[in-house]
Amino acid sequence: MYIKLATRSVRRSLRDFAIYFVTLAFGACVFYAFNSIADQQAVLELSSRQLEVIYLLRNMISGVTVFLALIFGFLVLYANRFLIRRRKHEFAIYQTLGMSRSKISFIIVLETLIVGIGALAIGLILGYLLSQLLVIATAALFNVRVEGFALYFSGSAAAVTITCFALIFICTLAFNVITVTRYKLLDLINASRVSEKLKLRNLPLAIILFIVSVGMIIASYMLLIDNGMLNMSWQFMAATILVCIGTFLFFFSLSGFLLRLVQSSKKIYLRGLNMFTLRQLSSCVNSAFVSIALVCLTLFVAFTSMCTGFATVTTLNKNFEKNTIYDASYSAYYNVGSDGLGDNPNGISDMMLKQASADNFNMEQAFAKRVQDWNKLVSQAAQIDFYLSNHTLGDLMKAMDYSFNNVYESVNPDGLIKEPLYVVKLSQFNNLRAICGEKAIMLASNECAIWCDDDDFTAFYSTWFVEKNELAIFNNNLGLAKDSPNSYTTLASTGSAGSNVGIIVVPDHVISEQLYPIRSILNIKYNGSRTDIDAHFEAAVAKTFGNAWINANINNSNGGNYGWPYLSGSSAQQFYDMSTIVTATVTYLAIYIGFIMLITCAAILALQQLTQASDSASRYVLLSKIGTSERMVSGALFWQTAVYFVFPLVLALAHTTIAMSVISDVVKLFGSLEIALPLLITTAIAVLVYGTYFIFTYLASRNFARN
Amino acid sequence: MQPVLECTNVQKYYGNRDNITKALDDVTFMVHAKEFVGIMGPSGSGKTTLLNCVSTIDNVTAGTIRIGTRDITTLKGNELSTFRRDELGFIFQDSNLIDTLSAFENIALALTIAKVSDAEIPIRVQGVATSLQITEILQKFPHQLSGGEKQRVAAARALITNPKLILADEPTGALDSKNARMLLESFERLNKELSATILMVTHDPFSASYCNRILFLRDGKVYNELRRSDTDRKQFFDRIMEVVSLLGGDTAEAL
Repeated sequence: MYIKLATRSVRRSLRDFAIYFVTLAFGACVFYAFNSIADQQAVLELSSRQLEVIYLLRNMISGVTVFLALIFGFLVLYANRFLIRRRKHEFAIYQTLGMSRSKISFIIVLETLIVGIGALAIGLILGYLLSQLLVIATAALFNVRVEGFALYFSGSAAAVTITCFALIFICTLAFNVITVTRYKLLDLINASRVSEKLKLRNLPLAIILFIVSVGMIIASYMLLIDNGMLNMSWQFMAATILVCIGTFLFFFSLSGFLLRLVQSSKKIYLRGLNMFTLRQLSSCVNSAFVSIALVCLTLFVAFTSMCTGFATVTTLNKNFEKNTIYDASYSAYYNVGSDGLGDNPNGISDMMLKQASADNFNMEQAFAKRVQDWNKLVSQAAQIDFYLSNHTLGDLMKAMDYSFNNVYESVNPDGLIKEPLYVVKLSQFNNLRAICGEKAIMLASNECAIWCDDDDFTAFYSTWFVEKNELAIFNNNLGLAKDSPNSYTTLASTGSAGSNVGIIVVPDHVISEQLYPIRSILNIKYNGSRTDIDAHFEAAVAKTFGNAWINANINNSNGGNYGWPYLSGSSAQQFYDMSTIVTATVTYLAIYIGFIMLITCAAILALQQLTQASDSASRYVLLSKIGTSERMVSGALFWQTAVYFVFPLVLALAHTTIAMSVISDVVKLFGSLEIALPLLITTAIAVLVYGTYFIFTYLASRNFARN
Repeated sequence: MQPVLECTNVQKYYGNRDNITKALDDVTFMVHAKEFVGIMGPSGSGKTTLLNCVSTIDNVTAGTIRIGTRDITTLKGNELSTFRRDELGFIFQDSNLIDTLSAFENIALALTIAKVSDAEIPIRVQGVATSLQITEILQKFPHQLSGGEKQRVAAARALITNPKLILADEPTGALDSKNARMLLESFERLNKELSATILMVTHDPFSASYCNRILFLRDGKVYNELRRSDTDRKQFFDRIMEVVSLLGGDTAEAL
């Protein structure tokens, strides 16, 4: 009989609160699918590098899973408290009929088990299907083929999911049993009669509080924008505290404020069911403002992580083509000494001088002499030598009294001031432009050009030439070339787009033949397509130097090369691999975190709305008795649900926009971040998931009102 | 003169072919404008069913119910709610005010859903509040009001749309005798001074004695009819008691 009672009440709550049970199953599904990523190797033919990524991803996902399970657990406990509280009357009847508390607890245990196991089972089945889709996604990301249509099951992912659910539901069980045994029979019997305590608030106070809360939020935005993300100063702490308190206060006073606002216009207030809707809303928000504020802050965290993730990926992929014009790039540093470090920071080390002058400082010639088939593999190569000028950035800034006033300065002010200003020869620069398919530039003998692909620094050099007209390089006073753009953005080496903070291109004669360069870069185009040549090229270079991308023969005492013809290198293929790794990791994590947090938040809001609708059933009956049309009631419910869902969303999006604009400043150090599109993607996903919950909540609460 | 309410051979059956319960069995009566009609009868006599049918909340099995010139048994869907909104006023046993709205808002609600202009609403609420002596409590919420005050607010809500017919279902059921008397006196005043037509279901002879005319129902049929004419309330009450004791049932036992 107990089983019958339990199944029946489960069935009833399933009907009324289907949205919560679907969320439970979704949660299990996503937990399983993402934790199963590590086992995808079973059906994917992955390279060892890709395997490493998968393992990295697995570790990150299991870490994140703990965090998400906590949040999800909170949802389950919260929802459970709601559902138990609604059944006080039922428990009272059982007790008056003489059922013992332990038997009632037993029914609750049964119910919880049925719900937990049911949701888990459905979730695992859905997760099993979703994981097959994820395999296809991974295959596409890594550019590998799925071996046939192989289905796979991940035991470890299932174990993780089951453990999470078991822990969550054990907590729930304990909580339920304690709650039920603590109830007093009298309270239970009276439960249906005690109407919900209406917290009447002083309306003028609500308005003042609302204005204060908005003020606090704006103040925190300003503090954050002013301070940035990197300085853990009092401003950052103050901004964090202000935004939290502000958010709580916002929802605490929101309903009172809205009420007052609408009441001030009789036209709106005394129209249709507006006053009823507003009062409903305010009774709901008043009793739940803490959880709504928490939902808003959680949404904010979810959006920010999703947005940052997508922004990283978009930026990476957007600059990919531009960033990989050269198939490979090599750098040689002439100040590298016998210890492999710069023993002579501003000059050339004896060992390098010996090695490099044997090849006339020509990297390509040095490679061709040492690497087998070099000329067959490489079609084009351009070397560019960097010379130290007689300036540092600090000198120029001081001469102009210039301040960047941005993150560069706050992160490493010393480094910025000591950063030397490099110069390169026009002829070499034009060779580089030729490889890129760009037109050669011309300079008169007293002219120079700026080579820089960072907007802040371009502005700096432009200001210099506007104020000072010319720059002295090795005793030649050079003006900025006429009719030239503010700066040339030619790529310096593969993968380095956005990080060139300014080099002066000067006519060849300015740099004396006696001067040694401090660094050289050799940019290479393969003789054929990248996919065909890259592996051969890498093997050929590695055969001579041990490792194609980090010279392994640096201080080998017999025949070591001290970093000639290269110390390090990078290839477009490497960059491509890296970007797929980052894309895969970040996208998966962002979707995983974002989705679980979104459905948790939406489910909490949905539950609150549904409970309120079911508690208000008698009010809707009355409305219909006194002749309110069904359309009017539906409309009122729609607006009520909409406002309830929209306010946390909008505030969270506002927080996110501000946080993202600050984050993008930080990330600018590594290349400018694209935030408009990711913000749009995040909003779109949010609106989709959240909107679905909204629509189902509206439909379900309309059902309550109709019955 | 056209009657406000005209029930002709109204029947309401529950159950299926093998087991029929006749809740209303061929009920015919009329209510004219400015009348205050009571419906009495023991439990299960069909009085609430009759009220539900008249108020369009339930539909009849056979027969017609006319309110004004319209046959309400043929109305459907939205017509029903519009009809209730425009032509009927309701007062229930447990006042049925919306607990989240103030007294003023509860009364105004009947007008806002009828899309009355916002300028007119406060004036009309004040007007009806004055006649029911509830102007002092308009800004209070239902949980701050006594049972009698709540019922008078409910009465104001029923009255404010100037309905053709006010339907009251055991309005004094949950009140103590003092509050019941005050409410019934206001009904009497509404009926006399504002010419409201009231149809009240009650099983309490004291409440019934405020009416002009009483219909007695028994087993779904009209069993008897009493007119107050010019007798005073005390005499009318005694006559009611006679019929009640004849009828038997719960009211007789209760006494």
